[in-house]
Amino acid sequence: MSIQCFTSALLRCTLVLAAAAHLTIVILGAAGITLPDRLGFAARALSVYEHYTGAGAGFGFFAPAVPDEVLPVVTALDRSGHAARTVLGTRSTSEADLRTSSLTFLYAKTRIVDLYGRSIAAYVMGQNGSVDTVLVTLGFYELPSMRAYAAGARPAYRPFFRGTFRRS
Amino acid sequence: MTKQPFRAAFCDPLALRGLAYLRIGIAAVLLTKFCCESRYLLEFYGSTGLTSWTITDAVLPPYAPRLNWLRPAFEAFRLSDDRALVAFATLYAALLVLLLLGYRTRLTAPAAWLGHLVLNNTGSLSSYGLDQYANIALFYCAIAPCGAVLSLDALRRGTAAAGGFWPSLVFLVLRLNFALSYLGAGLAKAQGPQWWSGEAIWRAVMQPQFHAAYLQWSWLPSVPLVAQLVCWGTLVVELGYAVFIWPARTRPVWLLAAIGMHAGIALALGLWLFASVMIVMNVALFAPQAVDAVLARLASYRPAWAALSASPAATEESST
Repeated sequence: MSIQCFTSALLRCTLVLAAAAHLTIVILGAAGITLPDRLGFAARALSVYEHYTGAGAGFGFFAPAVPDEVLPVVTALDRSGHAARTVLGTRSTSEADLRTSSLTFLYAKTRIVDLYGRSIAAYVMGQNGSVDTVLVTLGFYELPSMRAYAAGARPAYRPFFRGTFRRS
Repeated sequence: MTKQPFRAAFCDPLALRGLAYLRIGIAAVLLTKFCCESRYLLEFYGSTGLTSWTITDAVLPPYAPRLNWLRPAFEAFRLSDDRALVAFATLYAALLVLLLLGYRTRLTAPAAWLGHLVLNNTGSLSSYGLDQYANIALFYCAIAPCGAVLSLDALRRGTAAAGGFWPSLVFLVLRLNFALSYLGAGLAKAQGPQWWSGEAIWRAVMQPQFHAAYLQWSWLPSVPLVAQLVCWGTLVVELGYAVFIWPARTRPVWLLAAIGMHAGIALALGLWLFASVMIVMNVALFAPQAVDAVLARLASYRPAWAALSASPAATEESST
């Protein structure tokens, strides 16, 4: 075997091993396994690699259950007392609605809804200079089970956060 | 004898075309996404959008690239955050166009991947599955010769690109990665009782965010078996994908089932772009020859188009 052949074979073996390592990280990511922080540099390096390559992604869409959707109802009041009401996440384009719903769900899940309320209010005020007060209500869109629905139950909106934000 | 399949896996004649279809498909879907989102750019990615950059900074890991990192550069050019965002997003869209056309893909593919990472991280709190799969696909495009065929690069070069070890290896790893993602999704769903009782489908189609105005689902509770069968079908397709997508006998069935499932998701839940990414990846990775056949059929109908799409090398060959 010539040196060139040997180098080429060595390179190929290295690449195959790297591919195997990558796939192992994909499996760990899909299984939701992360390295413990006590592993220090190795855990950090792996996190960076997973983030950039997407190898650490979990794929549990709609799993293990489809939760109740959280709907933000926003009412903007201008100085003359005129009110405009919007339900974020139920506008015309599905992409914008999907992003709004992902955002809302994440805030609700991490229980930092007050911060989300402030963000929405700041955004609405920034968009419209005449808006003086913003009321934000977050609530679950509670859907009955199929059996309950067949028996006459209907979806209901159950608010769990109400915030009033005024321009300072 | 036993070494044959092993060798074939590392010298896949379909790898280059599969990677090219992935490049074209993913760039087309992301450009469509860009057009859909352009009206809402400041809302989801802006420094004073629904999530300010200060909040995003607090949530993101320190190594995640984001637009806030480039703030000193924006300030040097006296660009406001909003204008800088629009400029960056436009540059990203331009990179996607170049990637779609296959122009200098060795540069444009990694640049589009990084551009996607930066934009996606900046609006990370509102991102969803589509962005995740797009990141994975763009990463593979960045490291593989995805512009070796069906590209402006190939036209400029004038000679047919040969497959080899590296594209075959990347193609194989991407296929395995994709199949594993289905397995992960299937296993996660199988742990939830909603996926066995049929409630998951009912809850999904009835949510306001997925509500498609052209479909009514209030009849579903009167025939819950339909919802249950759809849930079971989803589990069978996702759990079986990692196994049955490989043998030549079962591949067409599983591929059609997966494509049908994603088309159904697009129709019923309005997840058009997510479904498009998944269909693009399914076809590019497991049926590039089907796209070849469709293109060949189209070419036979339109000789002028065929003459345009043929590479100079192929034209020379056919003339001699």
